[in-house]
Amino acid sequence: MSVIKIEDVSKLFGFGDAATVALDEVSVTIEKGEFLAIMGPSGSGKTTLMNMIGLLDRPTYGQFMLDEKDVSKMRVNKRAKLRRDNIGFIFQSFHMLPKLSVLENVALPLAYKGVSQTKRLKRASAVLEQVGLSDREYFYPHQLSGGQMQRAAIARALVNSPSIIIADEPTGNLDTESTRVVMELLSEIHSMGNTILMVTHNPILTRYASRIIYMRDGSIVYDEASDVGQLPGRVERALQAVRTSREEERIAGVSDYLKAMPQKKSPKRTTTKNKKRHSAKRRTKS
Amino acid sequence: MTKEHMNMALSSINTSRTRSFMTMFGVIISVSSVITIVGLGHGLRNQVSKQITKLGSNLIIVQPGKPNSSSAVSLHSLQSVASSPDGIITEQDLSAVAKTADINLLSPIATITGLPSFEEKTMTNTVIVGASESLPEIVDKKVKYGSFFSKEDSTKYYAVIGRGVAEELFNENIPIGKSFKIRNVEFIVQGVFEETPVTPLSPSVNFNNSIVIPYTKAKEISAGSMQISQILVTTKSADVTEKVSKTIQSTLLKNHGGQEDFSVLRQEETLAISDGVFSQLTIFIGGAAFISLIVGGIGIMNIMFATVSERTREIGIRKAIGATNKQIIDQFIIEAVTLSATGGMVGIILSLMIIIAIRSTTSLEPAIVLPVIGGSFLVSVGVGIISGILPAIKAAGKDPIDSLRGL
Repeated sequence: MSVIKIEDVSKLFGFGDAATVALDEVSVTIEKGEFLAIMGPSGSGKTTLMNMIGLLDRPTYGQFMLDEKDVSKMRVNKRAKLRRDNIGFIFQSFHMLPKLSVLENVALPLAYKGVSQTKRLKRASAVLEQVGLSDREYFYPHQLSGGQMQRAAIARALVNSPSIIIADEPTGNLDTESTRVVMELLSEIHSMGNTILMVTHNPILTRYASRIIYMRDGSIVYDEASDVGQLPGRVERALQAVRTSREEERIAGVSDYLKAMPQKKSPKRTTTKNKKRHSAKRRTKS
Repeated sequence: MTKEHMNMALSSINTSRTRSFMTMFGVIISVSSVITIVGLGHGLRNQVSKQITKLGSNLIIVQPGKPNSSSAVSLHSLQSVASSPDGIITEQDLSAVAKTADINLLSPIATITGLPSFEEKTMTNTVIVGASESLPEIVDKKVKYGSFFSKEDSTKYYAVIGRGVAEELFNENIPIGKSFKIRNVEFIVQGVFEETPVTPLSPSVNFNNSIVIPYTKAKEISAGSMQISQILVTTKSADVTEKVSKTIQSTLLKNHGGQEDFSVLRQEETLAISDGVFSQLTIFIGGAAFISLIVGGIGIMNIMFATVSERTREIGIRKAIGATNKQIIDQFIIEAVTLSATGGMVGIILSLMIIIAIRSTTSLEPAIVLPVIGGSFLVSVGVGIISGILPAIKAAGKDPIDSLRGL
């Protein structure tokens, strides 16, 4: 059963000449229990796609089915309830409410569901134990380290037992050790049968994923299934390319890793933003 | 709105105390300043108006000078009337007025110059008034110690003095029986007036500093230089006042050879003239209240809008984890209502305390004006609530991601 089915979804920002295409007729189907890693350079539309799937944003065109229900035209209230019951968010910058304790933050989604205070605090406490933060329940977000904060955010995402977990660069602000802890946690959640969608810049982390999607200029350019624990073939090759990178190219800000990624085959659009990007690409090749 | 929303809003107030306090502070200042300023203005108006109506509706005042507003506003203020330039009121006029029918009481008011002296001490800054025995009754002024001179006493060198004179010239409260000199003529203190509360802006005489002597004696010691500054007349009933005033008017007009260099004023006219002053005062009060409301309102909005970006992000987070628009708006409404209403109440209490403090420490009597309390409360609380829920309403129309980015 497909949890998420996206058909020809486009997202435009701005109007007329200034319009930029963040998503360009993207189609993807995600099955239950998949751990999807989405990769791609900045501005490739990864986050926009995540927000769309997470019902934080609406597609300009196209159809989006969640649990085989069309949600793209759904009313705000219904979307809010779907978001509350089916989707858990993990953000790069955590997005905890600074004035509430960790326990209250984690319990908040339940409050909007109408669960009584004692019940939701109990449940929040149980989830915090699951992520190993039992001793931090009464701390405030600013008293936690980045890794702890992200684990608390994961607890908040899990507290409603959602069917989909959306993680937008969950390790983007974390050091290596915290990254490892957070990824182990996500992997554990995945093994319990949850569907996880994760955006990341770090190719190594794709090892935890069961499927990798590469995006570029608003389109999905490559889609590869991979065994959990294995680096997908493309990444493997890309990482090898990184080792042979030249210093000046690093300084120029061009990631060799991205160069090794598959290119988009036929650019359909001729927006100003894309033109610029294409010419930049040409320059770096020559 | 469930208990859950209530808890959420209250905990939100409790967890961001500075913001909550500043919001309440805006409402407090707005409400209390409006109530206090309007109260002060109203109090002043009431005090002045009381002074004038106290004189009674059967009073007629004859005074030199053409009837125009400038001399009429200074009615009763003897110092300024004394220097009234055009036209004089003569002895002949006085006796003509006295002969008019339906007159109950009559007293000329004549101010003379002179420095009263007691033993080695002289006193400046007093008003020496020559009047008839009816003066206390006409102007509703009581003699606290001793008595006013009677009709039979009007040929005696008696004087009734104000409290200020008693204290300054005689150094005692009740100097009855003491004799002192005006222009080297000896007078005996017969009575002391009750203390007159000094009313700001009031046109009435400051009796505290005056010495009242019989009219005939005033004429005598001033050696003919005395001028009648007013004739005060009361009629037998309020119904005939208009008729009597017209009779006096025509009699005097004849006496003055057809030249209207005097004015005959009734209390209604006096009130009408003071109404001019009052309407100015009312405009001033209204203006001050309006400005306070605007300033207060801007203060409230300032605080509310200063926290909008913080709150917009908060709304974004809450929506991302599943809050519906209604849940968020409910929370913000409860928050804004609680803060604004509490601020409004505190503002009312604060202004009442200020009014009581002013009443007990100064001679001003600020009034407590209920419609103003209600009005300022409603306006300030309204502004507070509207600007408080504005971020929630604005965010309701947007996709959660826009709020989350803090747009």
